[in-house]
Amino acid sequence: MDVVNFHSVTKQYGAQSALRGVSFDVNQGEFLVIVGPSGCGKSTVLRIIAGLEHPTGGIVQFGGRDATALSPGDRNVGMVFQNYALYPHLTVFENLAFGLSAARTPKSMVRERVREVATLLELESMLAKKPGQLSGGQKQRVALGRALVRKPVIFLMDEPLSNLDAVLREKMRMDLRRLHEQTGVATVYVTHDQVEAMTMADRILVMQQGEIHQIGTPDEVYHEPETLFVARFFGSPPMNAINVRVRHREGGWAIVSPRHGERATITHPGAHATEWERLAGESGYWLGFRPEFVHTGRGEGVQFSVKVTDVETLGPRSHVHAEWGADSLVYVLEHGQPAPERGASVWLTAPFSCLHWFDEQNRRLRPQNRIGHVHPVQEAAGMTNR
Amino acid sequence: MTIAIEPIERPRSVLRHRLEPILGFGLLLPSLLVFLVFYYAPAAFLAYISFFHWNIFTSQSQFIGFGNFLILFRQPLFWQALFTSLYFAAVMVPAATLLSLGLALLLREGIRSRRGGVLRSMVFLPHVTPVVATSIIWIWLFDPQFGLLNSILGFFHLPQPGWLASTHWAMPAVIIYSLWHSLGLYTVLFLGALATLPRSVLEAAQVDGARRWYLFRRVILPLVSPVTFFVVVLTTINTLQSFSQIYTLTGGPHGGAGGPAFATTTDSVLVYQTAFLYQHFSLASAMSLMLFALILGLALIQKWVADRFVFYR
Repeated sequence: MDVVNFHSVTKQYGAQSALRGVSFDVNQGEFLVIVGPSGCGKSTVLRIIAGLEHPTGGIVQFGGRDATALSPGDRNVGMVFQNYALYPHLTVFENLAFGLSAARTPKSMVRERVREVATLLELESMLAKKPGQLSGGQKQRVALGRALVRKPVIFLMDEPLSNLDAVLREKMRMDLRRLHEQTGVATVYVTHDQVEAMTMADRILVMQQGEIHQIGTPDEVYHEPETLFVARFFGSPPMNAINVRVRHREGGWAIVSPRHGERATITHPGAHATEWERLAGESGYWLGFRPEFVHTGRGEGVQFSVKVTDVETLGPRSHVHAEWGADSLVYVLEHGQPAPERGASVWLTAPFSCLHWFDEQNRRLRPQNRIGHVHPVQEAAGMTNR
Repeated sequence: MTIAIEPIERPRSVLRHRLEPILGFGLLLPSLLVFLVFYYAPAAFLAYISFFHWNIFTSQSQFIGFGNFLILFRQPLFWQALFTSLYFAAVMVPAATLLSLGLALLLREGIRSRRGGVLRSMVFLPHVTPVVATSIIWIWLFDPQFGLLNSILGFFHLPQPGWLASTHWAMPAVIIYSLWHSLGLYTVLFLGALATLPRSVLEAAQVDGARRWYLFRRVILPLVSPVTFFVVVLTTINTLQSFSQIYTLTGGPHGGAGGPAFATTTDSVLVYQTAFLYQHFSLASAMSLMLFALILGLALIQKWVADRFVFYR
């Protein structure tokens, strides 16, 4: 049984559509991260799960039962807010006990439960303090404890790490994962940070403009993005995306930019003749390939002749910015590889296995063809021919 | 460049350093003078003459020490007025605080809507009306025979009190008017406090399963406590000092202020009558000092309580 189900949930704020028919399930015990740029509706989804907002249309189920109209207090959810939202006038103990007392839990049980949670989160020494006397990280742990203490059916976290400094954020990321494994409570975690999504999620739900673009494991959203938006949202620097057409050219095919007319050479086009034949014609495509999979020189794949415009050195690696006609491309050089001069002409090769094709509506071409991306795991298992 | 600037900068900054306090006091002086002449000096003079048998028309003033205070202590009317003042305050403070907080909670729902704005203005409006003018209107509303209030009570077959004509009901009538006139201010103060409550904290409480009353008692009430304290102190001071509405409602211009039968003779009314009707200025001064001590004492007690229960964010 799923913990929470959304069935075509919509949310309107006046004329503004915050959610345009969102459907997904939260599975038992999973860590689901909702990610997207600000204003994409991810917080609205979380607030609808919590019951703080009611959907304009659609159904929300808790444990298979309709909970669309249930008030927040009746849902038994634990929520961690971005600014912690601790009760400033109450001590840490009272903050933790608040929900239990509201439910008229016997005092001895409240004490026991608060001690348990305080031990788990290492809050024992600050139970008598007020939130104003705590550091950001400590407040964060109290907020977690408050969500934990009532043994909720689901945890909701709204950008809980965004107010912490970088070092603490990294530590809390691991702590949260560990806590999740200890409690086994299904968690919905909202963030705009792709690194948090990648490192913490069992599954990632990618949203943009009130719509779900993809739900999948971190591996899936990275290696098999369903839309160009997902493809470019994950990865740093983002995936290169160029608008191209595939044209016949003396016994083979070539990739041409309709915008600036540059050509890219395809090595051994005959190897995937049927796929190229299918792509060839007047329709345009978005061709995507990740900067980290591109290599310099002329090798097996699509070869671009580019002019280097800038080199960013980051220590362990460098990002090289280049121009292919009027399109900008980026590729990554690992430490030790010689960096080109600014203005130098360089050959780049995007191997067939790392190519992503999207139609003009920005959706991935299906079925995946062999000159597109091949999932490394499936490749190893000999499942390339899907 | 810095070397060239330094010798010039230094004397100038020293000059400025010396001039600044003088300039500061200079700017303060006009308002300080106004306060001194019209507020502190009369107050000091009042304290001074309360130790004299003082006559405004002749210069035959006589130092009598605590004589005026001793006269007051032996004067039943003084104690009665003190009791009336405390009765007035004892009803006004809780009533005004609770009603304005309640009104603010009701109005908060519509705080962003246009209708909310109209409602807020309606609640605040009585406070900006002149006390004397509206008191005269309320005399008509309170009229035992022809007044609106008794017409309504009569319509529902409820007893119709004599209001300002009754020794029992004159003070409640004054209280009703005072509430009507002052609630707007206190409500707006509470509305301000409610508007600054952090939204996520209220939402966290909702998620924690707090019902309406629990939310109010455990979260809203403690978080608005600084304003509650302020309203309590303000109501206490305003009530103990209030004069105009009592004077007007109880027929002041016709000489009957504080009636009937001293039922609405509060300390401030008695001070006025002693000074300006009977010309016992030094006695009235002593009474004012006592009133001042009473207000100060109450405010200190309130502060002592507040230090234990008020939460400042």
